[in-house]
Amino acid sequence: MSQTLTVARNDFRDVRRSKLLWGVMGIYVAFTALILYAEGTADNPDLATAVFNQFFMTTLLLPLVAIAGSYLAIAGERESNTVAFLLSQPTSRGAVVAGKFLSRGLLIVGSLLVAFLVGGLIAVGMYPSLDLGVSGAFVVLSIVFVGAYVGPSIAISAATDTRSRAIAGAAGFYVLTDVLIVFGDFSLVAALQFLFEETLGLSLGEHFYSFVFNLTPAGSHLNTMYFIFDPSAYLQLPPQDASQPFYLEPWFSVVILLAWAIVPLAIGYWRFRDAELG
Amino acid sequence: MTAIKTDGLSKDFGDVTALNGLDLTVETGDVYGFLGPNGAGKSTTINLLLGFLDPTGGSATVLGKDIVSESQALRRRIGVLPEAFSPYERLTAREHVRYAADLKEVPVDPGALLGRVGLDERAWDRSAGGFSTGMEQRLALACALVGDPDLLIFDEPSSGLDPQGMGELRDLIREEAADGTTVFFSSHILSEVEAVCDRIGILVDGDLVAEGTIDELRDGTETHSPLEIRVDEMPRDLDVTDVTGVASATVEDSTLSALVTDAGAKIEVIRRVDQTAEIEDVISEPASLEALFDRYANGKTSTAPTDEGDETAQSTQEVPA
Repeated sequence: MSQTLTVARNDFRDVRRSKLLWGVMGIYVAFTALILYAEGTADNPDLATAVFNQFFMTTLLLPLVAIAGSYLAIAGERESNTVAFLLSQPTSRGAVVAGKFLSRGLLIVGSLLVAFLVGGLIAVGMYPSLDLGVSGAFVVLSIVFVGAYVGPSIAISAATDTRSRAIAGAAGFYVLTDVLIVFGDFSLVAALQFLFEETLGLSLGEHFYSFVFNLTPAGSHLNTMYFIFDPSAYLQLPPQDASQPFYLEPWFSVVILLAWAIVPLAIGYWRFRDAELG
Repeated sequence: MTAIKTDGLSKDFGDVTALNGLDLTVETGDVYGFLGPNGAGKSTTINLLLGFLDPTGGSATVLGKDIVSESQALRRRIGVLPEAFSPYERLTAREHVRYAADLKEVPVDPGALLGRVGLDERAWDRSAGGFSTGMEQRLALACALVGDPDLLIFDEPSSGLDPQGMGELRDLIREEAADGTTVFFSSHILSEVEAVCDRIGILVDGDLVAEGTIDELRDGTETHSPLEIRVDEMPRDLDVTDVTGVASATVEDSTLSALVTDAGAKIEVIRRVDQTAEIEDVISEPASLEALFDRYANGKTSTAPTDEGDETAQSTQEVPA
């Protein structure tokens, strides 16, 4: 445990001095400020509406920040051979994976909080209320979402030995689990539906496709919007089926998001443990 | 107790055999030079000892601990200068030393160690990203010395060091050895090994082809080491061939070139010349082991022996190290 913290502390010290990373995080901060400012100039600014827009923006952009901040965590050490220093010490490989997850997770959460601080200041100045019930829930859900992308990114980094493989893996993961999920008609879920129903003539039911959508971190994240927003007030949110099974409930999406944070990490550790170095 | 013991240790990379059943014993307190051309399997051996690679066959212990099942425990008691050490660009020298100490869970005075390896004090709090190769190597040495280990494993420690740095490295190895620390280091440079080692092993193509003290190895072969003396004006009747240990001598212009079979003869030759002429320069080459090294290396393989300090000289036998 103390080794995990040692790795995390030193990794954090190293990576927080990276200017490139600050640039990537600055983009998220800038978008947050932009969205809040844009809604804030309306006649009757509503923070919930701003957070609603912010939620979509987060689904697309936060994974990029998480991936940019994590994908080189271990693969980069192997490519530059700093890993020789790290593992010449009595360092366990488990401590490396856990420590990197901790430090990069904290880093992204930290930049998220900076964005929310900036957003909060704008909200105080331009909006009638901070609406903590909405904004507080959004902050918590965003932090859970960070874990669901930092975990897989660290896992991919642990399982690859070069920068190029790590970036290919992380970019592929982002496209498959985020970009190709959130845009309804062009999503993998729609493609799957087309394949099964139109081509194979199988009727699997609406719940099946909703579940596939919900299995991805981006889909799960969007599903947690039902915690905050009532579909009757937001036209973009499809109404929920009252008789829907538990695995489509928002709370189960949180379980799925937490699983995304942990399970890939375990696989990544298993690959890194058996990896040959040098 | 033995510091390092390998028993039929083997490593294949696909079809390439990098290490072929290595049996090696390094006794506690020894300074052991692990010699061989690039690509001979030296780094592969060290990476196996450190648990970076998994052996294909055989077994080994370091300080009595198995390299596969007790890797973490054995690394707690050794100090390592890894092959191609690369520092964290954005951590300072001091932070590196502290990082190593925290991982080993030992107290440390980073300044004392950095001073000992001769890293300029102004660099202690600078990011290592701007370090020269020589500075990186000194930093790596300081990290290896953290926690006063029982065994030091250095992989090509002199790479990147200038001649002064190499001299300091030799002094450091001698100090550690005097302190009872076992030192195991690999090199492809003979003079370096000859200067500090109690024992050497010569590795060629993944096989240990010779092992023993330097004298033992030297005795096993007939060596001719060259000596050149340049004088102000060559005396007409100079003849040194009657000096014991001189195999041959020739004179050309103002230079006397002799081949000696016994290093002690060199001084005698120089004295003889000094009596009749003004010596301007003496060039004595450490060829005794080199001849030996070449003999083993060439006897084993048809490829040309590696030039000293030339990393690119070999190519065909390179294995992923």
